[in-house]
Amino acid sequence: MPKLRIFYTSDLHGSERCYRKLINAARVYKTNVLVVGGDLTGKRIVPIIRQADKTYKMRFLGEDFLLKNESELEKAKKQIKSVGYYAHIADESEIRILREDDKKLQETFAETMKETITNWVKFAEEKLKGSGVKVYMMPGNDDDYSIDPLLEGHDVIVNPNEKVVTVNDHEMLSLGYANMTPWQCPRDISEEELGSKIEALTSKIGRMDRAVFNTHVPPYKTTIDLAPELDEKFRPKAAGGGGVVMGNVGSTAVRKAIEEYQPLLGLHGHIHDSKGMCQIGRTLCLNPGSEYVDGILRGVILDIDGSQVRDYLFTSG
Amino acid sequence: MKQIMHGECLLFFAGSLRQLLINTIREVRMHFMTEKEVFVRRTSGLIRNLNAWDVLWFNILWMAPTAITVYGIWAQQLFPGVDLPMTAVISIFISIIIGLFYAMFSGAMPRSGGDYVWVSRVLHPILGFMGIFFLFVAILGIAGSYVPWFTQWGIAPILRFTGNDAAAAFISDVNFNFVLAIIIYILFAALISRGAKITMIFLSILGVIIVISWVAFVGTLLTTPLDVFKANFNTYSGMNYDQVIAHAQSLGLPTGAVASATVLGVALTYLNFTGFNSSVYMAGEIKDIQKNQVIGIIGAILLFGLIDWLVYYASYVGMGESFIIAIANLAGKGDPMYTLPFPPFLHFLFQYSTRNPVIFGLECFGWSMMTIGAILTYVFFGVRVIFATSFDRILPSALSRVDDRYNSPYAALIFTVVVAIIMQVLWSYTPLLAYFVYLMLGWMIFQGLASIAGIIFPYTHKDIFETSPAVSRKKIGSVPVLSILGVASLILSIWIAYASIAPAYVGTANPVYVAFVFVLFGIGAVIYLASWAYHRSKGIPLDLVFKQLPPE
Repeated sequence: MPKLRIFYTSDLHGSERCYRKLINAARVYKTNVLVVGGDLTGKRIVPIIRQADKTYKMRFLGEDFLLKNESELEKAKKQIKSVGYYAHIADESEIRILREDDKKLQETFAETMKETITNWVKFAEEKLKGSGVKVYMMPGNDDDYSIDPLLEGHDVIVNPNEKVVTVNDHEMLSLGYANMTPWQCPRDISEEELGSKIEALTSKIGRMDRAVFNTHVPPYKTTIDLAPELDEKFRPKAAGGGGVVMGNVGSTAVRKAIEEYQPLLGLHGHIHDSKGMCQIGRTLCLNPGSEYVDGILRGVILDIDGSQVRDYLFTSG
Repeated sequence: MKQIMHGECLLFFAGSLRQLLINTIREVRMHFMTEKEVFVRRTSGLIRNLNAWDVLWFNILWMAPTAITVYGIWAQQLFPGVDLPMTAVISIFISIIIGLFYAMFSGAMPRSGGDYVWVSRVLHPILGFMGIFFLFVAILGIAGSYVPWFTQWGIAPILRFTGNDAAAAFISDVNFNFVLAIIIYILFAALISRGAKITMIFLSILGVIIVISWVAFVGTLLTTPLDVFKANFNTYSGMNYDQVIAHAQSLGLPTGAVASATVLGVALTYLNFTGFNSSVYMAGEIKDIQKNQVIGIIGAILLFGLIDWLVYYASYVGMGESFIIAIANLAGKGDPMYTLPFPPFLHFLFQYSTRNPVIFGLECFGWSMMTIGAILTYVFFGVRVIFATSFDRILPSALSRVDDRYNSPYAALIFTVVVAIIMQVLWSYTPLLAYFVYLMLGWMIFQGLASIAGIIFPYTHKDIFETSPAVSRKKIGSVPVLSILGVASLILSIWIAYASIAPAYVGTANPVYVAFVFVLFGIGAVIYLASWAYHRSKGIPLDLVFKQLPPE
């Protein structure tokens, strides 16, 4: 048996189904170390309108639904959560307010996200209690700072963000930030800031040949940081023949740090459709991509022995 | 009268299909409209690359419309009296059923894409790899035959028509073809290395040339009186039009359509349609997949079907149905009356409709471009297969290396081209590729496995099915449409598999060649098991790749 088996995944974006699969992955993949590389929270709220006759109506995945009772409501909520959306039940009048008042909408988002993360933590703590499994789960650039306190102070869940934690005899540097994106997400920072944060953490690492760099954003100009280039209105830039211009959107600071320190492993997410691996010097960098919308948990199992990655396998569970 | 019937039938069919397509697209649109009906916060997003147009041309060129003019004659030789235009119409219906099945399945599992993943995930990974390995070898085997088609049946006729017999003979030489094949493969490797989008643009350009050549072919045949064809044939072929028909009649051959021959002949025309769903292999690169996959697959079937029907219909009008039946069978039987220096393929006979070298040259050039387009799609497919299976660690991970500058999977590309060249050697210098004669049997076995996966998918993978787009989770009563289409696809796959080895189709089936199909599947199994054992010894079992994680 190798000294350490890790299951790494990223970009769950609120998908209840993917999260539950993750917690079960420890047993199926026979590992005690689960690492989630950021972007935990969802992007969309599906309004479920409470009607006067105690029924509910909603529109989901292109279909109108009339939910006649609480049982149908629960089933609908489960389906909504499974694809990473949040269900929000309210009267017609409140829904109207949310449409018009952005501040109120952001508050609703924050409350919903916090509620979900609280439930997730509770689920993991209950399910994995006494199993010896640790879930290293950090926020990513899309995640609001309000969820950070919810990830602290637990037995099973560990928030490794902006820390160097020791996993068996490997030190893992973790950063959920990303370089600036066109969307200016909560944890988008400049390359200089990113570089400084990495630099501050590397000084805490004793053996770089066994170290893991768990940075949400992948290194720049690799095969795991490719995304469409966008114009000022977030539309993909058109290329000849009806296609779009693809570009490298990873971090130069992350790349520089990997080139300079040559850790054993780089674990990255952020770019969902850029699943792949690349080698920067001796460092193996991996991005398993994300299929959270389809409820499929993408990840990578790694067997590590000392300063060697003995084997790895991309999974689609 | 029969021509009118064909036209009405096609119009009716096109009308129904149009409505179906409109309904489907409306549903897909509704799916995207929901984006406006939910509350969205500001987060990062992504867009994919290939559009419906790319998908459509990729599928059409995979189907190799080239073969229409060849398959039609083969069908007449095997089933004298087959109503070729009608077989095109029936094949469209068959393809639509299987095409909708593939498009819906691809919509339900969009990023995973392709029957390799469906079978691996829903049935077992070893079955998925066996199937895709078979297809990889078989498709590159077919590519090996296409370079001689390009020179001997595409370019050489132009040279002969313009009096350059020596040049035609030179380019038909086996050694010339082998060298040319290697040059083509290397050029295609360079093209594919620049990315999927560039490849699709190149295919679209070929598509435009092909359409122009078909317009020339069909337009000329429909506007040139039959008497002109007869006169040219009698003047330039060394044979006599009326005597050909009369002689064929004396041998007992029919002069018009025969219903039983048409029913059996459909199998051969359908073989020409296969590949309309090949875009599922690049599902991960298609943007708005639920919409573009449906348009790309169904559009390819309709467009190809239209070309197929038009080519046969125009040939019947411009050359005469009884003449086509007669000359195909005289050639097939090796009758002494048949003295043409080439097979009676429709695009060869076209030279008697027009004596204009530009029009004939354009038609043959377009024909040859179709072989080029088909080879490119096959190599592109091969690269994707090697890359994907290497990612899943069944093949060595070194094969999934990607070039930093162009992001091209160079290792998979080199490997695929080397295999293609080996196939070309086998094709050019040995009779070994005769073993591929029953590849349709293997293809249909794999399609059958994908159909079974589709039938049970809504039940075994309820969680994924129930959250797939509305278009993919339609139900009739309580039964998912995907399962119903899966059953239809399975039945059709079995029928085509049977037809591909039935005595009427291939004469006496050679058991060794049939066994070879299963041997190829077996080699796939051996590779998978060897890789499985290797990874198990290293620590991570290979079957974890698609292992279903419980969502509770």
